[in-house]
Amino acid sequence: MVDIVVASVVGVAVGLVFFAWNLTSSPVRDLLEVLLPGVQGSVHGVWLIGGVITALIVRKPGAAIYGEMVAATVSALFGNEWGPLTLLSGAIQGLGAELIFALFLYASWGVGAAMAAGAGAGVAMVVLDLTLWYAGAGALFATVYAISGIASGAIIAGLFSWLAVRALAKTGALDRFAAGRERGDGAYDDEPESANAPDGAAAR
Amino acid sequence: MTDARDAGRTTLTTGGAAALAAHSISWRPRGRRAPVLADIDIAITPGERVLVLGASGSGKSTLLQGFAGLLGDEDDGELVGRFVVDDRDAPDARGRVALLLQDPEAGLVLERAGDDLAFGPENLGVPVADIEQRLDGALGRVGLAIAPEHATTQLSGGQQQRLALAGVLALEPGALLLDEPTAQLDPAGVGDIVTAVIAAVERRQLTLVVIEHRVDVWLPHIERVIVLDRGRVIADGPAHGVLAQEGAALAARGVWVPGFPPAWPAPRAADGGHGEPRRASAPLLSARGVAAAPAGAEPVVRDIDLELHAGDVVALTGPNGVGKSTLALTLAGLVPRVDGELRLADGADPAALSSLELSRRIGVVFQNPEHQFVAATVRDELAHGAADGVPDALLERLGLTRRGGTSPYRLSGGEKRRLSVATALAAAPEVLILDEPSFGQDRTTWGELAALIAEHRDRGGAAIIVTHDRELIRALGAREVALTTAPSAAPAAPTPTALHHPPAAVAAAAVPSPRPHAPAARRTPLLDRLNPVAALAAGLLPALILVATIDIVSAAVALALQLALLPALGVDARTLIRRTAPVWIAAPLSGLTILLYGQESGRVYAEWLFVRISDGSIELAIATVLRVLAIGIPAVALFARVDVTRFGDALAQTLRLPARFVLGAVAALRMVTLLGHDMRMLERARRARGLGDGSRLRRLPRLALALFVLAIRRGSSLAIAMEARGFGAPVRRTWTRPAHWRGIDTAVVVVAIAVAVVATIAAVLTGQWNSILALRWSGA
Repeated sequence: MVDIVVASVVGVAVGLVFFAWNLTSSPVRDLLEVLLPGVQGSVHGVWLIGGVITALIVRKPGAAIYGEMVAATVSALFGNEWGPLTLLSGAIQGLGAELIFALFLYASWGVGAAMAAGAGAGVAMVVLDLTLWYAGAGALFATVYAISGIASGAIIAGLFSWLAVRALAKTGALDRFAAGRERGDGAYDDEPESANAPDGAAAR
Repeated sequence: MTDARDAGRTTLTTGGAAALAAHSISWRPRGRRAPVLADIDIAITPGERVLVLGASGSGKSTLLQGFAGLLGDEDDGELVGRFVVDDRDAPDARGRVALLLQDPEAGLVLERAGDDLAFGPENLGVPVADIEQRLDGALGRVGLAIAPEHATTQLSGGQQQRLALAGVLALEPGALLLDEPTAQLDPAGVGDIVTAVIAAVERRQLTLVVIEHRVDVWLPHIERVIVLDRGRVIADGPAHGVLAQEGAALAARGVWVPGFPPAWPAPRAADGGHGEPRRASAPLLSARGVAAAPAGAEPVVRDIDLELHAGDVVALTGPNGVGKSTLALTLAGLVPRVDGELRLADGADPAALSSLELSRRIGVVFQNPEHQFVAATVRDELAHGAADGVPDALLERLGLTRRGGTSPYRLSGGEKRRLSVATALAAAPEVLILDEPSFGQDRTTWGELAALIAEHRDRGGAAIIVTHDRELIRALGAREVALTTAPSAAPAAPTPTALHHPPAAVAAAAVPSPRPHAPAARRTPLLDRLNPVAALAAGLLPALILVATIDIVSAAVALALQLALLPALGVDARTLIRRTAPVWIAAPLSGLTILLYGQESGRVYAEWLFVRISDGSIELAIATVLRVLAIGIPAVALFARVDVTRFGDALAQTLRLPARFVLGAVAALRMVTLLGHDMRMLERARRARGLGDGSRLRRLPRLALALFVLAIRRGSSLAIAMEARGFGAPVRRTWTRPAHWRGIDTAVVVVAIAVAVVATIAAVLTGQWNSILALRWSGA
């Protein structure tokens, strides 16, 4: 139960990061879009973080699809040009990451699996986008977009998510989750129960 | 007090109050070597009123979660012994025990007050008619005069806490457990919640167990005190006896025990005995006619004049929502001011300084210390921006020597507060600005905090403190500036301010926030009456048909039909254009991409690097623009303002998606407001700490990380609050807001699909149909 709620809240936080990213990156993205064919794929990996990071935190089947869907819902509710089609993108991209974690039998959560899942989400995104949105684009554009999109998925969604979860574990935020316990039993003995946080996390 | 639920029970306790017991309990959470609770034996009789005391980390919260049946399973830790409610194991007694947590934000689940109240009984499967009966007058009974439609995010902390109380009382429990329910409230909020709790306990003869650092608040109402120390019971008995015996020891460990006031810092060094600070030099900070407004809102505070000299401490006081924090952040140069002048000693305007410069001039302590941490370890946190480097001595003074290599987030609440004050002082700023620094502090950390501020004052610095804490104001000899809500009769009249005669009354123009659900139109537009699943389907399904082709005819026909039909939804044209604005912007951009890099055919008009504009790419570009509009406009128009709660109801009831996932997402989506606020505070804190210069894009990764930490914290608390209200109970859930699928829903979906089909047929008949699969995957 805690997994579901925390996965949801992380999804919402990712959605907010999407939103901030949209606002701050749009000049860069627009420039890329006009200057070079398909290179915008290289920053689209940001959209794929939701699935990978949620799965890396809760380590449960379905977490990747769910996390990416929740993040996409936040995006759609804030109002973007794709509306509820964002949910479709979220589902497909989440599925791309989910399938990779499933291939690893939900037993591997290292940097390799994370980057593969990010690339998986990237493949899903590229196929969907080239079919739906860039259907009229030429072969050069399609090739560049595919390569940059998948690489961006592996690096931004995969590697960065993995680094982020590692950094999160150090803050103690993940102690309750498998991802936060990797350093072995007793690693948190010196942690006092917080006086101010309601602190289910410390107690559980 | 017998209702359907109690009547169905085989076991009933006298008067409805629950008996609680812990039998030889030991509990060790996963990942910890030492148990949090050890050999606990406690029996609480029905109707008893108990206060649980103990220092931070003594296991109090865990004990309450045990009684509430929320410790989880073997995944979460190792439990020896039994928690028993009446005569059942605690986890099997859902609804008998109600738990209210410290953080008011985390105790609420849904967007509207009335819906939130129903959340608990719904989870327990209480029939809808019974829920309505239970909730009749529930808001009034906790002293809330708000409509059931009121947005839960727009309540003050004290109101939220009372709503959360009403929410757990709706479970009709036999015992009420409170985990520091007043720690984050102002004095008025504290009084309100205590009154509401005692009224409920007396009306329903509830068993009451309270954890609180401030003993005096509850002492008149309780009969028994249990003292925990490192997971063990060290005293248990009648309140006054236990306090007489253990009071001094408890006070030494930080508990606020009546008769043991905290340590005050030495009085102002520069006083010279006559209580008036020096006024020789220019003020360190001066404000003239400053008006402050929260981001994107109307001003809440106007006409503030203030002079802050070396050695001055000013306390900004006033009721919640009057704009104290906004004003403080404005004076700190972190929130752009609406009007007025602001100067530091050398005449510089804080708002115009670079982040790095500002961090050296003004130190800011945020209400939540976690907003301002920027480094991975405590040591780096202190070294960041420090004027004199080596933080070893400072670590020692803060009592953090052993924790230098720890993440700041891992510190206890009191340690976090000390660290945040120390980092704000690291660069030896002239002015220190603190927002509610003493909220939730125990007696020990309170004393340390007051000492740090006093030291800054005595070094010739000045401080502004937003606070409700009378004792802190007196201990620091602060000059009080009381913000008051201006009488609504004359909101525009400038109010004279008396500056040098404390306490000065400064009028803040209270601008009422617009009611979130004001009845704007006489008739509800069709769009708002639709089942949200129908709105989603009507936006999504036609899109799936339309994307199959890329041609001008189908896109143009669909767009024309949609623009003709959309007014029928009852949304006026201006609103429609505003909501769909992102689509109108995105469409030409997509078209441009295709124009420059689209598939080439026919005559080529321009060539430059990778760009080739040809007959083919022009046609595809026009089709792309129309297509993005035809797909995006109805989808966004139908979905843009969907009500999250209703959407969730419909997903769970109409589409029969699993309720746990849907409700988890709905509750999390309510947190958008809260996390958005976190994000703004994180940005401001980075500016205050000298990290706000340069590209926002480069700051985003670190900002995101800090946001994730807060999100996971908030999520964990939310999960406990939801479980405490029966979320996930193994019964069939009821729904007080039935999601109906009406004829009109079917009609709207059918019409939307028909539009797409007609458009597609038009394209086929005119020979324009152009399959994207063929176009994309057969190669150009």
